[in-house]
Amino acid sequence: MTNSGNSEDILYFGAPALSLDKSGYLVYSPWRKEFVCLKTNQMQDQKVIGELIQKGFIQPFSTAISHSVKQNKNKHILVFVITKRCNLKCSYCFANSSPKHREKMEPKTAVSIFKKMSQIHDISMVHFIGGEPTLNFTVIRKVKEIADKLNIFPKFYITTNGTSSVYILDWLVDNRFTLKVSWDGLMAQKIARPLIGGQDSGPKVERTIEHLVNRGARFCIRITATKSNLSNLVESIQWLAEHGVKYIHIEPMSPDGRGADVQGDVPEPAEFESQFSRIIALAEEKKFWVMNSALGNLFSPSDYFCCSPRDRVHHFNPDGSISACYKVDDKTNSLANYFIKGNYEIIENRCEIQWKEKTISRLLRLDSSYYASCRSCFLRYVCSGGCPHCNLGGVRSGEIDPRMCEIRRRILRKAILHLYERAKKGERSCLEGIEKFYHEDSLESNNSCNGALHTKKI
Amino acid sequence: MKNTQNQINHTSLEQRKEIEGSITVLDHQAELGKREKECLQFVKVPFFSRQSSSSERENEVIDICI
Repeated sequence: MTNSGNSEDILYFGAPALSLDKSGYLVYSPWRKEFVCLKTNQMQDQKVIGELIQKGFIQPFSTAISHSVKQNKNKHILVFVITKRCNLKCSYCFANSSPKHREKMEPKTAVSIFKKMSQIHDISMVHFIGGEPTLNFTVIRKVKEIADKLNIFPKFYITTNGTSSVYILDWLVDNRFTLKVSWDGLMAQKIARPLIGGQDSGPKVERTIEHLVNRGARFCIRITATKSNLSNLVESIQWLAEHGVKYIHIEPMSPDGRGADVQGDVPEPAEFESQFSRIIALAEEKKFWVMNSALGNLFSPSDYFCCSPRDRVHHFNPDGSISACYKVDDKTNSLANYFIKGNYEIIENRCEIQWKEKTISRLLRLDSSYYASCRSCFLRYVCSGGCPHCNLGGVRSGEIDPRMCEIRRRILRKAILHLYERAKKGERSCLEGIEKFYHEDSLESNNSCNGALHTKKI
Repeated sequence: MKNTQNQINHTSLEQRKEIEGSITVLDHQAELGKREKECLQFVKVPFFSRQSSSSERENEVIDICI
């Protein structure tokens, strides 16, 4: 049992124990998905500890670690960065994308990569990103065709700015792609995400959202929260909910790429938490699901924040590099030494890969035990150290990014308390969004407004 | 308890049986009360049940950040 520093909350045999008052703690077991309230004198009681261990509610440290880092090398994610070109010029774009970029992946290259990687691994997910990936639509179509031809059926995802044609949108929907559509809100879209000529991209993206809802598509809206749009977020999300959107993913802006030029727009942790609370309340009322990367391990405890350091996700960049992180999309990136873990080359339609074993080994060390301040943190196995890219790229490279750390602590504490309040009433929570969006085969339709499943008492 | 035991030693068999009986009841109630006090109250999170096994879930990978 160790103290987490500034807070009264503690790590209790791997589980977060929230100090509610001086008399005791609310302990949440991410393994069992259960709560228990313990009086202070019970926390050290051997009989209580024994019962909790026997039940699988808490984990002795050695078990917690071995359980959470246990790896199975079979399932992997293949990410194609198929163009660096984009028809928007977002103020904070991590990839520095713009219309002037010409780098793109050739269809035969992507097909060769897919063939090669599916021979090595069980590819459970294929994700297309950019730039704006629909500007290189042929690659998407060719990869889907080869997957079908080889009888390989991963889940297909695409992150798009939502400005593509109805033809492409319909093709994606018909081929059961899951879409992540970036949109920053009714007022902010025009300022933060303008079209190349400076015009407002909002009307076009809002039409896309309405079209996807009408088609019953599998999609979420991906909102980047900044100081500028934070105060209007609830109003914008209300608009989405009223239009039938069921999955909303909110992330605070990070100062990467062009984001470094506007880093003053990164939201303050307390303000982000405050708006996040309002969004959760709205989600329970309007029946939609909320996602944020801090919640990724809330129901599946892990030593790793994401699958990037675990060598389970492979980003194939247009310049022939293979990255562990989507934010490092070429060899010239300032963090390329940390995240570029291999190179590929197409020789006579065959993909040849050279892995950098030292880089892969170094990445594997970036779990929650790597960071001194995480080892005894009450959120060790649900926050799991946070984004490795933010930590390595921060002011103090290799240490926890303090601002993002504070945001995650605030959000996760709020989330655990919210989950408890809902659980006491036998009600499910909107915070299951990630679980449902990524793991459920038949997603709740985006035009289904009854929300019956959402509030069902179990 | 000690005083009660002394009392038992100086009473008739019939009285002793009565007192012993009441002590047994008292001990039982105390034990029940103790157990009730120690019993941990768990609150289960209502949660959609995945079809996959726990080992399969450990093997699952997602790409939440993008």
